[in-house]
Amino acid sequence: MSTNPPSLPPSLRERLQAEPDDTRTDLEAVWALLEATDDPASAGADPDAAWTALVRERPELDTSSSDGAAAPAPSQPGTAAASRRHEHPARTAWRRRRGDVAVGLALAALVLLGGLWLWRQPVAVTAPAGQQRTASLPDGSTVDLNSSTTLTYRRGFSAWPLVEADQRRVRLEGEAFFAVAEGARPFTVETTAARITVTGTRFHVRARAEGASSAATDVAVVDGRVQVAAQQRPQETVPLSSGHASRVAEPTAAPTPPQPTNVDRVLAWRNEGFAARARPLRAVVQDLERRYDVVVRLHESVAHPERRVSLYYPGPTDLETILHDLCTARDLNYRPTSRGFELFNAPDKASGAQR
Amino acid sequence: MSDDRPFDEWCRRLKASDRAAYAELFEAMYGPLFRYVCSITTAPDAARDVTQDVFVRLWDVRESLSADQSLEAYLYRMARNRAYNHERNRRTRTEKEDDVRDQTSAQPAPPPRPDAQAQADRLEDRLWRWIGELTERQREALVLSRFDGLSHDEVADVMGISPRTVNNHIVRALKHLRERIDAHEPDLLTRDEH
Repeated sequence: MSTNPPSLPPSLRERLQAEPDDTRTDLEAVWALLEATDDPASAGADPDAAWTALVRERPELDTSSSDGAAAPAPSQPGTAAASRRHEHPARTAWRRRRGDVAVGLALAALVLLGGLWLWRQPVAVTAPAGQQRTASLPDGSTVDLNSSTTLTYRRGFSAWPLVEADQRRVRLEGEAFFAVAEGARPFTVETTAARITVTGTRFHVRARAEGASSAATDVAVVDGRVQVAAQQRPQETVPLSSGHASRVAEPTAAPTPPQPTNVDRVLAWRNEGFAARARPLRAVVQDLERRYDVVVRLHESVAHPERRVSLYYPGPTDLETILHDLCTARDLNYRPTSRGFELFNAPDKASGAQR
Repeated sequence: MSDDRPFDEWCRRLKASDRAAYAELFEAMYGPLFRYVCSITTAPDAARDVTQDVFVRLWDVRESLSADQSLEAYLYRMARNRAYNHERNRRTRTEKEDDVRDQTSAQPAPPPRPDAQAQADRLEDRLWRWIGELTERQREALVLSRFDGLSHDEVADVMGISPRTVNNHIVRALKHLRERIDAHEPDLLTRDEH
């Protein structure tokens, strides 16, 4: 008989007494065999990499920094490298020949230009799909961005460092609500199609590419007054006052005349609601995708995807509620997919009831 | 497995937000916990996330740790809950996808799992493939007891079952492995037969 492997836990050894002798020795041998075995999957264990990942998630756990403060984030490698380059040659160049001085000066100039170039890069604020956010602008104006929207503007609304630009100018791709602070300089919103100019007011702009029609821009005013013009026809402005809307279909098209609009509906998204007014089903589905960051497919069995639908949810609403109503209205069904939902046309009620 | 890991001391220092103690604990326990999570999730990527999550959570709750209960068992319990949650979510997702697939139309069956077809040449790989064939509970009890060196009482505590059941799981696991070894590698089990 072999002796018991020493590693066998006492209670397991006791339990094995209940087995026939040869079974017991076999099982003990299996137990011993496992001794030298390590899980190949745990070869994937990399504690160092895991620690790095952990500290990235919880910077306060970094024991390598003495005071526990977060290590400086490597957010702008470009500028960091540039300043290092700047210091080093500048210090050594003076001790060498005059040629080196020139090289140093050239490098310094390069760094200066690089810095200026970086400074001139527009500031971009983005709300990704499924999220909304509020941006504060340098002049105190605020902008609420709906999902999948990017706003860009010159740093500090300045033309050059310490030189103010003659306009407060922002560029919008997507959908946003502007609350513009009063100011001497006009505030301009540029989209692909339109240019909207104000001095202090609250209004809504939507500039999204939709199917074949690329980037029409819709403007609706809550308070005050704005001027709307097409990008290519800046002289033909249409004045809009509160409760009115206008559309610029493309950069060369004149804005439509002011039409009364229900601003609460237009701005339902700011209260986490959702609204669509006589919009094609396909476009509504795209809005839902952006808003909830899911994929919503229209199955080929859905007839007339261009037919228009209207929806209005003034307050917080979840996606399935909207899909349910949408399907009821259009006599469709929806089902979950791996990344979202699919709308389809139920051929008859019997097969729908089976599920 | 003799244990020179001062869990009680770590626990006390953690309660005082000692980051050095946290780092020591991480160093000592990341590997074992990761392997344990692997035995449940079977996917190393998911196991990495789950294991990291356990440590993040540990830091969050450090002040409410109890000196009376075993920190080691607590870590394993957290890992276990998260790993099973992850598995449950993954299965629900897969079922939903399967559901949709069934409805839409017949699609080609998924390719066989790579581990089922891999021709492993190393004994270790084969052993672990056989361990992969065990039921979840059997595998878990075996891994905790054999590889993580937890006592039966600790294994029972982590798994929320009685020590007797732990024993039964392990014995069944060993029997399954014996069958596999007998069938494929009869020479491995050296028998002292006269």
